[in-house]
Parts: sequence; structure tokens; C-alpha cells
Amino acid sequence: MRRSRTGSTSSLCRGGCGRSSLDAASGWESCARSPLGCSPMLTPRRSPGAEPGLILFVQTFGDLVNFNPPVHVLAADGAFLADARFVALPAVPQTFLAEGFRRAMLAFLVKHGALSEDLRQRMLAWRHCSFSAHNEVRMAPEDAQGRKKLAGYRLRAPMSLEKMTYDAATAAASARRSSCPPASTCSRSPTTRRSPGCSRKGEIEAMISARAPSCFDRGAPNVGRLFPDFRAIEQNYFRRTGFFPIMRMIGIRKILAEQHSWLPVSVYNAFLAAKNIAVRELREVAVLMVTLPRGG
Amino acid sequence: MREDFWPYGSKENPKTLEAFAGYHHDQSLSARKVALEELFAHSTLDLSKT
Repeated sequence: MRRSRTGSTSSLCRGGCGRSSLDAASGWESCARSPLGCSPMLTPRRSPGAEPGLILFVQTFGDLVNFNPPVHVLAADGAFLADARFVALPAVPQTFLAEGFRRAMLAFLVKHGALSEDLRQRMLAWRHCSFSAHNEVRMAPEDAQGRKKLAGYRLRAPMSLEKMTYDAATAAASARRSSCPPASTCSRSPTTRRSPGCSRKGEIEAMISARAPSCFDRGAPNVGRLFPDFRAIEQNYFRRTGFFPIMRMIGIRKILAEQHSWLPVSVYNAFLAAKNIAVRELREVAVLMVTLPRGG
Repeated sequence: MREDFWPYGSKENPKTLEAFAGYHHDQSLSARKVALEELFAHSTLDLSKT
């Protein structure tokens, strides 16, 4: 009881839905509440009328002033019973929280007609559906400084001030909006969770990668290139634009470049010399650096 | 393709770098279109393959 009065968990729930017409705040609240308020120890029969202690902060916009609302939740590590008693509860497991939020969010979107039931079913099979939640930030009961810092973070500006410009002449502030379509969502697939068969099984709908997935190399019938005739398309692009894509930029700390004025030029010369050696070796016919197409 | 199909240096790639800066600005990743002179160390701006 003493511990649970002030102990709390800070959770972050993030959704990638671009439908600004939704009553997002109430939806986020109910979706965040459902997994946070669930606990095997908090069944209606055992604890009738129990309510989780939650304060939700909705950051309406993402850094690109797009509608990408994360919800920060300050959650007490327990629940209030109907008779105003507070009971401490074990932490909600991370996987339980994330999956619960994801399922609640998709159900909410279907209920409001923003998502079809068919798409909901398919999104449940995805590894990443752009709705995520974590509860890794924990505040100890006696950590007053930590609570103050957390509150300051929660009350920050609702959108990125870096994207705002102020015109003194007209006294108007404006924000550059993202030119990306608002309905598009992307999520980065952590390499640690990548499964060799994920593309073939349909868990990944599309990917941009330097390397082809193994299922493509094996000739899986349902996996293919977006541009099957990619070589001709690339050649056409080069003919039209003259662009041969730059793949690397070399960066040097400014302070080093200032202290050693010779450094940038010397690094450039070194890379140029290295490339010349590599190209010269490509033309070496006695010992080929690449596979010989007519090799025996 | 040219003899040196992969030229190094800002002076050798103005068209590609201009396009990069333009796309970067068009997609709201930069508040204004950044000039190439701002991107590279001044001592390297005039470098060309030697």
C-alpha cells in the first residue's frame, strides 16, 4: 500500500493511424486502458469496480507535424477498488501490454469504420503494424526528481518547434507539413526479429533492402520484385537523369577539420587512391577479381 | 557510361547532389534547400580527380 501510493509506470503507446477525423483522444484512452487495466489479479469477480490509476498525455503531432499521436500514460502500479482502497499489482508484462494495445487499437479502428475486418485480421498476422506500446520507464516511489523530470517531459510543446518558423513581419508562425501521404505507415523491422520465411508467409507485404530475402532467392512463387525488368528501368533512369547514385559520404568532425586544415583533402585523396587501385584491379586480366563468365 | 562511372567529390557530382538537396527539401526533411557549399568542407569544394 505504501509503495503503491506513489510508485508508477510510464508507458508509451504509439499509433500510426492517419485518420485525423477520428475522435482519437477517447479511442487512445480506451485502448491504452484495456491492457493496462487488465491483470490476472484484477478480475471483475475478485475486484468489482476496480479502476486503474491512469493519466494520459496525448501528443497530437509527430515531429513532421503529421498526425501520428503517441500517448504517454502515467500509470499507478495498481488499481483503485470501489471502496477507495488501493491495491498494488504486479507489473503488466511488456508483451502483454504491447499485444493488448495493438488488438484494442485495431478493434477500435474497425468499430469506427476506419479499417475493414478483413484488414484487421491480416494486420494481426503482421509482426509490426505500427501500433506499439512499452512500459519500460519505471519511477520509484521516493524518486521526486524523476517525477518532476517526467512531468516536464510530458508537458513539452505538442509539436516539434524545430519544424516551426516565425515570420516577424507578419507575426505569424507556420509549420512545414510533411508531403508524405497521411495514410501511409512504415515500420522498421528489427533485424533480430526477422524470420527467413516471413515474406513468403505474407507477414511482410513489402520491403526495401540491399539484399534479396532468402525466399526470393529460392524462387518463392508469391514473392517478386516491384519492377521485374529492373535493369532496363535503371538504365532508362540513368539515360534520362545522368544520376549514378551516390552511396557513401565521408564525414569528419568539424573540430578536427578546423584543427587540421589538411585533413579533409588528405582523406579525399586517400579514398580516391583506393578507388583507383580497385578499378585498376578490375581491369587486371591475368588474375581476375570477378568471376569469369566463360570460366572452365 | 563515362570512363570514370563513379566519380568522387562534390565538384564531380553537382547534378546528383543538387537533386539530393532538392528532394530533401521537397520532402520536408530540411527547412530550406541547402546549398552544396554548405554541405562540404570548404577545402574540398574545388577538388577534382587528379
